[in-house]
Amino acid sequence: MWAIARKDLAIERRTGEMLSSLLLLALLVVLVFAFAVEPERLVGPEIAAGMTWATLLFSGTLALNRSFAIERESGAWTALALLPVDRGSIFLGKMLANFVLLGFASLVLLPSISILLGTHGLDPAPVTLALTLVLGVLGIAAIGTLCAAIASRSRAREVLMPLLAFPLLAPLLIAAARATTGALVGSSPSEVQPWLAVLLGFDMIFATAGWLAFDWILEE
Amino acid sequence: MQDGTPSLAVARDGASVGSGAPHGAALVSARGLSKSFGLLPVLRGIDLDVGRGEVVAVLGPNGTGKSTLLRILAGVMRPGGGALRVLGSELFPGRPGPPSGVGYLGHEPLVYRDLTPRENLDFFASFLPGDRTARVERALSRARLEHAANRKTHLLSRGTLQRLAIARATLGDPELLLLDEPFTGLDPSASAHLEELVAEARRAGRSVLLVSHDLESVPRIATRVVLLHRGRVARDVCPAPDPQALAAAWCEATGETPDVGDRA
Repeated sequence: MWAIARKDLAIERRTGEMLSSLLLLALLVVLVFAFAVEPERLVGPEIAAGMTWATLLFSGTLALNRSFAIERESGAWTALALLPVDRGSIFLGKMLANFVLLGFASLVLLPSISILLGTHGLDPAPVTLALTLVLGVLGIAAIGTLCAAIASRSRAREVLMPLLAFPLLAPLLIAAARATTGALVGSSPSEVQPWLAVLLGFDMIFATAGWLAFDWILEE
Repeated sequence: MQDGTPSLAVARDGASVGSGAPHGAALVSARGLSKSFGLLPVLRGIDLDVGRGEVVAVLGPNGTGKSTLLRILAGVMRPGGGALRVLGSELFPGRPGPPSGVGYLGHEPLVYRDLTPRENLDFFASFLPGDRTARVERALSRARLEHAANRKTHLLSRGTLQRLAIARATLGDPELLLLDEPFTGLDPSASAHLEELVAEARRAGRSVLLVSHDLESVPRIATRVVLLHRGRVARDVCPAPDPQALAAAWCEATGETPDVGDRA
């Protein structure tokens, strides 16, 4: 698992393809919001939280397609299938690498969006915020990796991936945005516990589903 | 591998060819192996045994199921039916997965284009037991890749890429080596080197199953030839005959003229 994650991150460090597309797409989404809605209405913790997660979801979903494109090139997908390891651990390795990349993007995005929209009325609770970010990003990584793996078998993978991922990500988006809103106004973890529990449940379900299903996804 | 006229120990029309595996227990034992892609049957009941120390060349016209057979033996493709044991373990009993101790060289190099050859081999070696660095250096040296070890893989020539693919396939010193058109893209010196590697593997008691169109080189390296036609074993010839006899066997079995060699 670690070797797979290390390899993916090494390739990303060299090419920068996923992170650059992720951050550029995120910037575009933020700009579109800013152009579409009057600036004075883009204030408050709900807007900051909602924009952060919507941006992360759109850009992350599209960027995660790259995660398996590198495996398709030169047939490395088959090389993965040939590894003498439990195939579920290959999924977990790729999910871990995607988690690190999305986590980095979220650390850039949330402060940027908050500053862009103005920090008036925000009193972030660091522990709640960190917990929400970790659980939310892990969920996007788990669902995104699973859907990217399934979509990568199709020639229409760029279209199929968001079609598969968005419906699954919708409840996660709601829970993450609510928990982040709470975190931005200083709520403790116990106050947003129901939303954190939803996030944790999603993470566990989709990480387990990916781990179990990857055997069959990888097989020809 | 043979001199003079070979004795053609021939099994016809999909009959069991276990007699061609004289060197101890079979490393590969396939019975009634079948595979279809949609409604198109590709393999129609292959029976095949490969014994220890054998170099078996699988020949046949395009689209006859040679590569599919190799991918099934490598554990990356599930057969439609039949029973398969590789290195003593039943493959695909429930969960799929590759058997350990099998090296596979496919049509594509199966390496990461954005890593260097050394990084690629280091990654694959991290899943194998033993000293990783020593294993990588040995593979680089065996494939004569030291000069290109730190170049970007996507900048390598086709021949060098094929050497890297061979280095990856042989990284774990596999007991069974599956080579799909291994001479593609290799220059004469690299081809001779690959032949050496195959001979070395055989001397070490390992088995090799290779798919090739190169009727010139096959008799030099193979101890046995299996001709596939329309998804069935049409001929099983042991020892491998000379190129002329092989071409004649091919024509007789398939009704077609052999293709040109796979060397670029």
